[in-house]
Amino acid sequence: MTRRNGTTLDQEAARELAAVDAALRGEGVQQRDADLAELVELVRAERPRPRPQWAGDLDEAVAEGFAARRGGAGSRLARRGGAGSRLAEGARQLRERLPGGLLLPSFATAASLLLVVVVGTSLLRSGGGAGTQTVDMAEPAQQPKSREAAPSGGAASTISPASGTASAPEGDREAGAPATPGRTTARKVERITSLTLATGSGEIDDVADEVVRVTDGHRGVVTSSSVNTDDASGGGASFELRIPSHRLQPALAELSKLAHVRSRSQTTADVTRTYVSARDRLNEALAERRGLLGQLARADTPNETANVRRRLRLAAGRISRARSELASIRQRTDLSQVRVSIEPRRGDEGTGGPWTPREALGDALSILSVTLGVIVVSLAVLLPVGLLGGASWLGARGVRRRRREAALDAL
Amino acid sequence: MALETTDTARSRFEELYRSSRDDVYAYAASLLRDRSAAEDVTALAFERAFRRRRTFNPRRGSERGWLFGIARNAALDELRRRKRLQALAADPEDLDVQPPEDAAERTVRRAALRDALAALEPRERELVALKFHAGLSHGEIAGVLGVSESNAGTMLHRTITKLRKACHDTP
Repeated sequence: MTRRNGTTLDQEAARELAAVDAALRGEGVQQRDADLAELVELVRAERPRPRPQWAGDLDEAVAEGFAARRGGAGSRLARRGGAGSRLAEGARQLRERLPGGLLLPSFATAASLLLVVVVGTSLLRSGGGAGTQTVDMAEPAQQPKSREAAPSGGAASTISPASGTASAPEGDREAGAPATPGRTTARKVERITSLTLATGSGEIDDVADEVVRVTDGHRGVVTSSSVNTDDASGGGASFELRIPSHRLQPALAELSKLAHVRSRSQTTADVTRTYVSARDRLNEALAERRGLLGQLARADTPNETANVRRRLRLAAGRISRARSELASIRQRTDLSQVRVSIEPRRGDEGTGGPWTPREALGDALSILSVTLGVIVVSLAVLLPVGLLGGASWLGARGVRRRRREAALDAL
Repeated sequence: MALETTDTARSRFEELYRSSRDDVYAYAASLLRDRSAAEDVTALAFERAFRRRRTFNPRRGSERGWLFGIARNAALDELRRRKRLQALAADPEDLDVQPPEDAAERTVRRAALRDALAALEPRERELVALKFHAGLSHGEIAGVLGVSESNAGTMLHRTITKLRKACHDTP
């Protein structure tokens, strides 16, 4: 039944209704309304009266606060409705036990919190807040192929054994070896690791020394280094290291223990195809040179000898280039590149003095902006959920009301 | 019934129960036309009211209006259940049938009234129950039915006119 406004009672109707009210209260009415008084009396005489026994039972149930209501009259009605009604009754009782109709808001809040947790967890897992990208080194074959040829050449020429303990790359295990059909080549993977350490400004020198010591201990090479102990900036240091790949992990573990690790990232590139290609070119050039040497031994004329010698020089050039390329690849794969940065800890930056009000203000603004971001994200989740829940509740309420009214209309 | 303590709320509920029990029953019986169902609905209504007594907001209406709203929902739920079961589709009227002790004319009028009550639409019968058996004001009836007060008065007057005509036009 919808609310309809705007219907007004005329004076006669209002007077008659007032007469009915007076008769219901037992008061006298005007002579012209005597029939209304009689009508009231007749209708009230038809008033259904409860059985005394039922009334007594209900009185008891009320006195007990419906404590035993599971066996009470009201519950009999609920039970007659079957399982669906029992469920509805259970939900209704739960709703009633929560003060102020808190069932829906409670569910909405729980669902919203769950959503926030799920979204937050997925964001954290995707590295959204860390700023550090870690590449799984156990699956080098899955690296993008476009990177395979990119770093070839040039790396060996930049290496200068600054530490004095550099060891030469391991011998030419494969260079010049003939390519055997069906032979499998070990994967050639180039690794680049970046490590940022934070320590007190007064300890940067010590940590820098330790970095060199660790590098030496793992038979690595310091290809370049820079240490700055300027008080104004708080100081810092950076290192370019080459660590034998088979000792990379223990070396990184030791380096990470030198100071607080602010960030650590690692990238890998599979250069196996580039390596195999260079090796095949070397083998072809070597085979060609062997053939040319045989021709030279059999040459009879000066012209023929000169021609073979010219071809031998070309083959020697190809051999040299292929060996150089192979050496470069091996250099990059056998010796992993490690970039170490040492930075002053927060509070040791700037003048090296305590935390300044300006820095505190900057930090406060950062915290506020992060908090605002969290609030905005939470609202973005909570608001639609709340609106959806409210709309559902209103819709369900309207449907329930219409069904009830329909039951009355169907009588 | 926004009450301060559990004891006070309990005592106010018991007071409401004592003053309304028979009225709620009369209303449910008139609407359902079934004594047994009316007993169940009445008990269920009071049980619900007891559980929800702390949610009553006096700014939204009187206690009796709130109670009859609960009773009406319980009664309409019972009607819906009956409709689903189709068991009581032709439920006979089983209101009290008391032998008339009045004069012959009054007996005739009473019979006419019964016929008129039986001929009323369910919504009209509900209005009669809320007004004559429960004694609710027009404002309370409007709150229970979800209509405006003037609309409730208009519907009630129309129903009373029907009954009045049925009783006094009787030869």
